Amino acid sequence: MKITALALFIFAGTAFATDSYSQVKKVTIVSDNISMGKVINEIEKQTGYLFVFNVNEVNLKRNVQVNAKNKSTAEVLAKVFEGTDISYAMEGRNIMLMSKEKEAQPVKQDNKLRGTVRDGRGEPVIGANLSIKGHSGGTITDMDGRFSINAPADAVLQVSYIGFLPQEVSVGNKTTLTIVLKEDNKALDEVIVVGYGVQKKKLVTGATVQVKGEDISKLNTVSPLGALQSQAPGVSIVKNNGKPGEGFKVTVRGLGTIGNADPLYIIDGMVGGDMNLLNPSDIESVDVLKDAASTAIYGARAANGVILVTTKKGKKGKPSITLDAYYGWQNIYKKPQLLDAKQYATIINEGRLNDGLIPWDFASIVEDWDKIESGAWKGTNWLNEMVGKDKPQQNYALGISGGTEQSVYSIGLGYTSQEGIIGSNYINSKYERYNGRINTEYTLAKNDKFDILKIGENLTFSYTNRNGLDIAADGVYYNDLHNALTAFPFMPVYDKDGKFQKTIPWSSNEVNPVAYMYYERGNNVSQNFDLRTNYFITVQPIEKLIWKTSFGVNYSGNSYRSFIPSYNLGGIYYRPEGQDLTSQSSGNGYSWAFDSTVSYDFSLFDKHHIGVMGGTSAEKWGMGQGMGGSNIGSEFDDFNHAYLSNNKTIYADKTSVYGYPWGSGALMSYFGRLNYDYNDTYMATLILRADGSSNFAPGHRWGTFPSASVGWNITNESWMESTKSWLDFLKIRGSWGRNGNANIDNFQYLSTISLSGADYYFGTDKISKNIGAYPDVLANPDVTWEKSEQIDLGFDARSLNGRLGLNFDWYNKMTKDWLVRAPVLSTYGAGAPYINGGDVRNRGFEMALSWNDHIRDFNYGANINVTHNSNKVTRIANSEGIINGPTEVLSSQTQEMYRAQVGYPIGYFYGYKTDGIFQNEEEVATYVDKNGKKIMPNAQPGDVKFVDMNGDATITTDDRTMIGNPNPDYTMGLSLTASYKGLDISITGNGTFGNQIAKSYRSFADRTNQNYTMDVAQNRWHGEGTSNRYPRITSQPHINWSYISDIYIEDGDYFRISNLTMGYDFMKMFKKLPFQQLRVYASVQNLYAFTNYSGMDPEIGFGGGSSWASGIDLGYYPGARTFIIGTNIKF
Amino acid sequence: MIMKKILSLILLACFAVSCSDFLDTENLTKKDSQSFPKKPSDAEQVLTSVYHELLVRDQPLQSIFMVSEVMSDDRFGAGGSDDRMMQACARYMKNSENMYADAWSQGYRAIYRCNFLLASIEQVAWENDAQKNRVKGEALFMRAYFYFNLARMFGNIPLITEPSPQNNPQAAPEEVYGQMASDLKEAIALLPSTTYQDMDKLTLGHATKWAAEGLMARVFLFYTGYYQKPALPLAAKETGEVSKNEVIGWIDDCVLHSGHDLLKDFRNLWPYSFCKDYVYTKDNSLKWIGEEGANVEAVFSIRHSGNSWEGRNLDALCFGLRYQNNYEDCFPFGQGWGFGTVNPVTKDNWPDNDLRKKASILNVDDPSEGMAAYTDNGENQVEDTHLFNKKYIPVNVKKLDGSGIESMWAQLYDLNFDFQSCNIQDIMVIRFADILLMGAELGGPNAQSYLDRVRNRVGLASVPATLENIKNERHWELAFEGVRYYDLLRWHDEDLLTKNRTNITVRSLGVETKISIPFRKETGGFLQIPTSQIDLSGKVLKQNPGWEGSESMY
Repeated sequence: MKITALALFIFAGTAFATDSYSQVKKVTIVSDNISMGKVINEIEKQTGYLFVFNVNEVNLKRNVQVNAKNKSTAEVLAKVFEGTDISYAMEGRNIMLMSKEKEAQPVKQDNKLRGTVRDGRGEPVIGANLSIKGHSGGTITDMDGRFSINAPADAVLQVSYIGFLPQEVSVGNKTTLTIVLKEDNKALDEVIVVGYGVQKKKLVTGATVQVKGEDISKLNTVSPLGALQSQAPGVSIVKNNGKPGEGFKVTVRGLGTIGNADPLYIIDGMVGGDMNLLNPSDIESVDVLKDAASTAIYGARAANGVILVTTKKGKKGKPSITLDAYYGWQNIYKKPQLLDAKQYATIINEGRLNDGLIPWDFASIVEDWDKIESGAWKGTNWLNEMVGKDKPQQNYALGISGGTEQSVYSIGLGYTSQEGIIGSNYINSKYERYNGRINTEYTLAKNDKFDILKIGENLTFSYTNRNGLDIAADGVYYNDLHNALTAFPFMPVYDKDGKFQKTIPWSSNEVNPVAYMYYERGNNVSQNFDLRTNYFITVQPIEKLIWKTSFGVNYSGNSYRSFIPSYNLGGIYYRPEGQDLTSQSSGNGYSWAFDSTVSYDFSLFDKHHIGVMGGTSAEKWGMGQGMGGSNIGSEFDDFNHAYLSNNKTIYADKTSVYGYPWGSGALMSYFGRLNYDYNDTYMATLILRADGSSNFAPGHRWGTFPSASVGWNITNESWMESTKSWLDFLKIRGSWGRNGNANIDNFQYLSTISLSGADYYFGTDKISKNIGAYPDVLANPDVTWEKSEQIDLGFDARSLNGRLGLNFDWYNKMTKDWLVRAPVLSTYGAGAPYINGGDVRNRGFEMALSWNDHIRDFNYGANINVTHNSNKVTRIANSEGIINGPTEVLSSQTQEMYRAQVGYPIGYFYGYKTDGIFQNEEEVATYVDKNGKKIMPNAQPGDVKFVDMNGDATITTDDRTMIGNPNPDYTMGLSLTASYKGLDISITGNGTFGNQIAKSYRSFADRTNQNYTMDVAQNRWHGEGTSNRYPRITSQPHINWSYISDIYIEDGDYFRISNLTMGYDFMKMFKKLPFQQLRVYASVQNLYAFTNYSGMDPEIGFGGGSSWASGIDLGYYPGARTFIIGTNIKF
Repeated sequence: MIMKKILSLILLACFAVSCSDFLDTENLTKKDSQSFPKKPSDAEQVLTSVYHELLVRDQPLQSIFMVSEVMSDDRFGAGGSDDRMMQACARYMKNSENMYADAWSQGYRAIYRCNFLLASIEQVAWENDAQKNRVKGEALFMRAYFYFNLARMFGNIPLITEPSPQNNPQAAPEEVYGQMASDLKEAIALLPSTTYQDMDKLTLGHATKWAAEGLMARVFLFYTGYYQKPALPLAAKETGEVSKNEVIGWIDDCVLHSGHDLLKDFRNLWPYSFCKDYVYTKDNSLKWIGEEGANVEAVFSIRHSGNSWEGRNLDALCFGLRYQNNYEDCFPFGQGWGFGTVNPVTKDNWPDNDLRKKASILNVDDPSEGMAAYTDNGENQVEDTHLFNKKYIPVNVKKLDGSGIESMWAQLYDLNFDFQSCNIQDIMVIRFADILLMGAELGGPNAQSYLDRVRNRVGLASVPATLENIKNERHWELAFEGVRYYDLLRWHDEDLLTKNRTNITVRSLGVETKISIPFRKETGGFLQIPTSQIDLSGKVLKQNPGWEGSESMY
């Protein structure tokens, strides 16, 4: 065993106390010839002692004879070190081994240097490493912090100890020295990315959060955003759905607008880009700027927060090669139970009876009824058909980095693939991603102190391939998962000829869902290709005066192709012979950005540190075009040949072609930042940015976005000395700033003329059309920035020698002048323009608590973060004060179910409150208003009791109210890590609390023959006292279900163990192998979700088609539970 | 070039010099109203976008044709049990607060486009005055057409004649009708007097002078009847009025000079007469007149097309037989949503000697229709009377290769036989028979001969041109064509609406039941103003009587 620095660290922190432990603890070692190393190991194993020594002093290979049976440790030690120059000392549970000469013969030679090493509080530092610069060998300090070492007269003594800053001391002709080590608040000296630069974490005055690349990649998510979910307080990350390669809905500090609320992504300094396209292994760090003061440097587009991604850069040194690989098996986490054929028949007839209708005689209308009735055939469980088993997910990432004094490089290559768990029994449903990355930097000129001229570039490349992923849209339509949940079990998958079963007479408007998916949505592929390059040059004529200019180009392309064969599944589900449809489209284009900054850092009178930065930025995007077309009548009739050239005949009415420009825009900006601190104690930052956007009319284009923030490192104050013993660091900060959002369609300041969707058919042939043209939007020449103003107050603290960390932020964010298409009067006759039409307030707090410690070799840590946000609309600029959500979300014939309204959270669920189920006639008769008038006179027992909110004694649309809120009150992330020697284990979890979900796995309001899930069937009312949850079954649509009410609403609270990983680094066992790391691990994603939610997955990003709504589960592609084995290899 | 750009960018970035046009972008796909319309073809395109609003999209109650049919005493709402919207409409009730929002917005969208075209008419570089006059005349006609629909549906509507956004309160009926009268009067003057025969058939579907004359008569009759006024006012800024004699003059002009006429056989107007395998067609040697220019009786039609989902005739689909999936069994009538079942009272009141009875009503139980089997309760059909209209309904034919059945429209125009999209029958909004009957009702020297012409065609003897006889004649001639309900309102025969729909036996979900639908007098026959519009107006708009509160909720 060699010195473990961490063990010494803990040793240093432990008070010296003599106890009788050593006397009591007995060991047994019997051997004629055993190495010292083994003896030490054995004693450690048997006693729990930990040895502390310098390998250069103790010869571990020396063989000794031991014959100790149940002897005290001290006795054994005395025996084995007998006759050597090693003495031992026992303190607590540590055994120090030292060269005797240090004690016995302190000064042998003239150049023997003696001294002590102490920390800032005067305590001796035990086990500090000392060596003479340029010489091998060295020593360590003893229990009193004392040392002695042979030192030539001109020697430079190097002192290092974990947790302290390394020091070099010129010995000169001194013979004794007292060295005071400074504590290394390393975590606080880390730099974070702040936009156009970096800043020391301890001097930052804004609210930011940094997540390290390793904490992202170790969670083995396909997208880096998936791993951020549990680690970034204040950032809500909800997956769009569980489809392979699907993106995430990311919201920083609450929804501030019903328009585009995405944060601004900046990858390696270049604006834009899709984080989902990055391989997690390529990421060095992700920094999220949350408060307005931090984001103000990105002014016009920063109202919704900024996410800065830095990919891995090279470091000077020999090449480092890493290989990360894993393979996983995905399965559905939770499958709702469906009724089997017999149960289904029973429920359907119960509905008939409840409606006073004669029950169906299934024997005469359903084929093979006898088999169903006898239980010989349970019918088809369509969900089982739809859900695949053990679908693979894999990832391989290779990283190479290194460099010389002149240049550094980092190269990454990656491949990721994930198959879908839905539908993949029948179709090829798969996401694949290829990544490449090259980051290099060359120093062209330098002097002793700094680099004068550097050039470099960042290049990332990604190519994605999505096969068969048009399936399972999130709504009621085109949703194959919903179709599987609702298809009745009477129909087999295949008919007697082994072909897909067609509609059956029982209900000919319900189609075989897997066949329908197979034909309509199974054959398609989309490819996406993205190349981001950024070239930069840095000039530093005098120290710390840095001029940096960079030019970035993002080139991207996409293509799509699909094929729908002719087929006939009966009813209206067919595509006639010769009408098979081939579609193809593609597009490509580029954008560029040109940034220049000049920065200068300097100090005045030693203690005033000033950093100034100014810059300009010009961007242009959307230089590209798309083309596509579709046609019927393929010569080949299959997907592999689905290229438009294989459709030889052009039809006037069935062939379509199109081509369009992407629509370009530009942004021009000037910005500056001033950082000031006095002695690292009082900090202030001022930022000003001016942006001009092409999205607005001349005269309304420019906006100015200021911010100011201050901070105070209280622990630097002398009067805080008394708390130094437990409080390492405390900073309080406050900020105010204003940002903008310009994310709207261009040309809203003009009344544009549309040529689409206004055709008419003059003439004789009834086919050829005349194109109509009309103003499609009312002009709003005044439309301008959406502004967000935010106040942030927070503190950062570290205490107990850095083991405990606490960060806290309170914020109040007012988004003003939303860019919104508020509904206008229909009499205006054209579409609503974007107006600056609303205000919303997000207010809340974020707290992150961390604890990291170790007990000898056992290291452990815990991080927990909690975010609270409350969202409230405070103004909508129409007289209604409402922006309505769409109707018919849960099914046809249902009304609006969410809206944005003044005084309520954005996207709250809107409908009827209920008060249980009428259990009997008496309850109907006694449901009266204060005048005794019956409120629901026509209700029957088993019907839903709707609450008469306005007290007018009838249930009308005016009784609708807030019945739920999809925005969580609290979100939480948790990670627990532990390691012991080579073994590591980590658990990650995340959850939301206080949010609701609207769930409807069936079109209750219009499709009467659809199947039921067991939870509805079991909790249905079927007689007095049977249920107060769901109403009686009816054979016809009934207001019980066609009214949007809280019977659809469930609490969406959940806490998910999103990742459990156990790994072992074999390098701890096989030290001779030529690796730095050889870790093998096993991991489970989505291990368990604690929730009362009855659906498949409580994480529901779908909001009925609106970006500002969420939490609507109609059979939402769930996230898989994945079992992974993998390895990390590092040379 | 690129180097120069890059150089200027470097300069830009280094020295913060901004070129002002950097932020200017060009719209590459859309024109804007500052530069449009300029050419005559631009104006034609705007006009086309107005006609586009004649087409119903996907919401049945968007169509005045549908609404007025199911509210009339000839029909029920029917459809499936979940089509409560239809059943509510037929009951003069609501099942949501914004049931007619689509109809409202579609009307005003069309009017906005008319206003936009009329306001920019002078900025167009016309080739000649005739061209300008025709476009302007059509725009005026269309504005009057849409105002007339809105005014009849909603009663109290804001009047907007400029393309700028205005939150106007509802105008008095005389203002709205005055605007229609002025627009139509000007349209009649501007539109060319080309006969139907001389008309370029490629312009089929455009409004003509004759259509404007017919619409003027309809507006006059409704306004003077419903509001019980002697004459039609002109727009506020004009003086004078439109008198009955003027209207009679226009009708006479239309009859004499338009070239429009009655077809010889009434039944050849309707698509079933195309299906030669239909017993009724075969037995009577019918031959459909088609929609490609031969139909001299169609004065103004909504043109439907098989080219797009929007071009389909949704009304006809809605009136189709609900979920009768076996097309052989119900041949030649096709599948639809089963709305607007026909009231047995209409059938019972209709004299059997009138050939139009069997030409207009389909009785699925009548063996002579040759229907093999009609399935009761097709997908939860309610208010089924086994009686359907024959005029606007999907019609199937045998495939030419004998391999089965397809829609007649699929066969005629080589469409994909999708029962939902391939009904593309035109709707005759103004038919020459209606011109004659309006002429008869207005009086004047030709009244008797106009009435006789209509009756003679179907082999009926002359009856005196009394209002009573004309009322009957309109009922039987124009049944199921969207005129009955507003005829009853303007004659103030609302009581018939209640009387004829009392205690009627229908089958709902396969079970016989009796229904009664009383007319809600308090509404005046008008629909609910969309509540969302009232809210958006900041209560500048007022709800119509009878629609506040929950009593009217179905």
